[in-house]
Amino acid sequence: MSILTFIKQDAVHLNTARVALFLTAILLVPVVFGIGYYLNMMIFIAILSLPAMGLSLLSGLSGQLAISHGAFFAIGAYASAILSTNIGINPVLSTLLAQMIVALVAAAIGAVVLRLRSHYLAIATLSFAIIVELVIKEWSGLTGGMQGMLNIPAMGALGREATSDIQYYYIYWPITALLLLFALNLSSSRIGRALRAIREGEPIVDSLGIQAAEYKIGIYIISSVFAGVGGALYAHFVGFVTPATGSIMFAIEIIMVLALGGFDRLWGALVGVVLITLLNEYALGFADYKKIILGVTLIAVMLVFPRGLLPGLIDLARSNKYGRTA
Amino acid sequence: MTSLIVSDLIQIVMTTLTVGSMYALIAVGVSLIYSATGVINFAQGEFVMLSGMTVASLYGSMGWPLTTAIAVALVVVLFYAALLTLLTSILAARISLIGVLIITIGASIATQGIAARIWDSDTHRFAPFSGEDPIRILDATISPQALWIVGVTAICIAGLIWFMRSTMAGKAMRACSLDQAAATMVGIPVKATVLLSFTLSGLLGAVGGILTTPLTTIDANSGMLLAIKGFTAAMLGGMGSIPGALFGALLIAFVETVTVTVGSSAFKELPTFTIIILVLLFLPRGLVGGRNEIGLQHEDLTRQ
Repeated sequence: MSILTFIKQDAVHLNTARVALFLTAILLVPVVFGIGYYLNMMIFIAILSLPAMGLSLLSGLSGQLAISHGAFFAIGAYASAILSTNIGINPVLSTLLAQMIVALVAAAIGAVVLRLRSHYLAIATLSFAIIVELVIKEWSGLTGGMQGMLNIPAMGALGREATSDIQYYYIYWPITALLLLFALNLSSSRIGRALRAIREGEPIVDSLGIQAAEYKIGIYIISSVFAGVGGALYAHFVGFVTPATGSIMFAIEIIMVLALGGFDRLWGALVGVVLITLLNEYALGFADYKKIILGVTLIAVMLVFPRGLLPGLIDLARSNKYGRTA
Repeated sequence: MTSLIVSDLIQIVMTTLTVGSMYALIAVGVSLIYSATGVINFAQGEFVMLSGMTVASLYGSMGWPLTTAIAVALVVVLFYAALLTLLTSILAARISLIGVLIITIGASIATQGIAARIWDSDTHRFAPFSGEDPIRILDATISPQALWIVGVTAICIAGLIWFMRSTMAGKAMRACSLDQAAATMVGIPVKATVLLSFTLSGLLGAVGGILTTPLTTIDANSGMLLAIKGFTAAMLGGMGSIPGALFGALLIAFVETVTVTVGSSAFKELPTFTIIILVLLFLPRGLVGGRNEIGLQHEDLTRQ
């Protein structure tokens, strides 16, 4: 049975129209502004949006926080890098195969940790992230250890490889937009509604014949695969991966993106990625300052707008416009 | 041959006790804050880092007397504990516990960044309290600092258990951890009690930093992994229980020591984090199993 049969058709049309408009605007940017360094930044935004959207799906639909998305990004990156570099599989195919590995690992881990909630889930997924980072560092025969892997083949198929930023831009943004559309539709589908219901009260939902556990593992797998796709695209764009790709700092950066863009907004995740990319690019010269700014911003945002900066500002604007009711 | 095995055993026991003491100081601190507030303090390792770095620069590099350097380190950590109380308990009173966890993550990385600006990113240490010459028992070698670590930790934790059982303030802390609303009704100053739990927890971390820096060295980024070890130990034992935290810390230290002795040091963290996932799965309240249920209740990130 197709997912689409369960979605209100208007929601699908609206989502499709918005994403199509967004993608058109994105694809016109190089036509208007020409080729430049900003393309490189835009490609990173397309890549980093994927783990952020993945985590946003999870936190938005289930209200839970996982610290494992950095790890799945790394698994996607390393799996695709190993498959294409060591075995010589075509990068497009290796990206897809890597997602099967990500999905299998996510299913195994999800089956274990999703019985936990709240900070227990956060700590369990953090433990998993530490294990992944450790395995990447120490299994040097496979992963290159601390040095990482170099000379990962560029994205491409049938003898044609992407060689310039502009080519990557036109390959990666449609993928990101497509996955955004998928996530938006998933969120407004029966599955999304079931997950929101599970959040309200799992025993009640179980009694209505919805298999809560299966839905939770399902959304965890999907959300992790988003991160995995991001990782594979990253590996084939920059051409190398190191253990830093899956570090705890990266996992925290993804949480930071959601703190900026809102924990339950897919479009907000995109905005958050743009903000953090700009921060990384222009405001943060040294690693120490970066940690101070990231840390202080994280604290300030959580204290003032616990649902995230963007939703907080939107609420604020609304309450000013219509006057406070309370 | 037998003496070799006995030496190995002595070595394993001593290493377990030394490493376990460090983890115990952090785990008990995590547990104290958790039972008073329900907050998991990701910044717990920063107490250790701040105190270790302060003593290393004042005593180790600038040549101040050890006692003065320790006093300054304790003051620094007390200020930091008060700041964390403000951020996580007073300003964040209406935020979900998982939101507060994110705040403590922010505090942890900001502190790392600030420490790297004040000092640098290199590793620091200072001279052990009783010299560098190891004590030999059969073929096992034990650093005198290890005896300091185990001894002072034992005194601190025994003192803390006495404090919690026998003093009015300690009883107030236990009352708050059982039921904050009820504690308020019988006139216990809850905010002061929360501050006290952060203070005690900070002091334990500071003791850990001061004791272990001569042996293990410290750098601006050491705190986070120590904090993770600490709450892994606390969860293993059962959140909110001091004996549980102690037991969890020793167990983790033992597993690590045996892994390093039998296998390789490269994978010393692997069993630890595998164990914690298994424990969370089968015994979500830990091996000792505190009765505190705060973290098991439904928590939602996107709503207050």
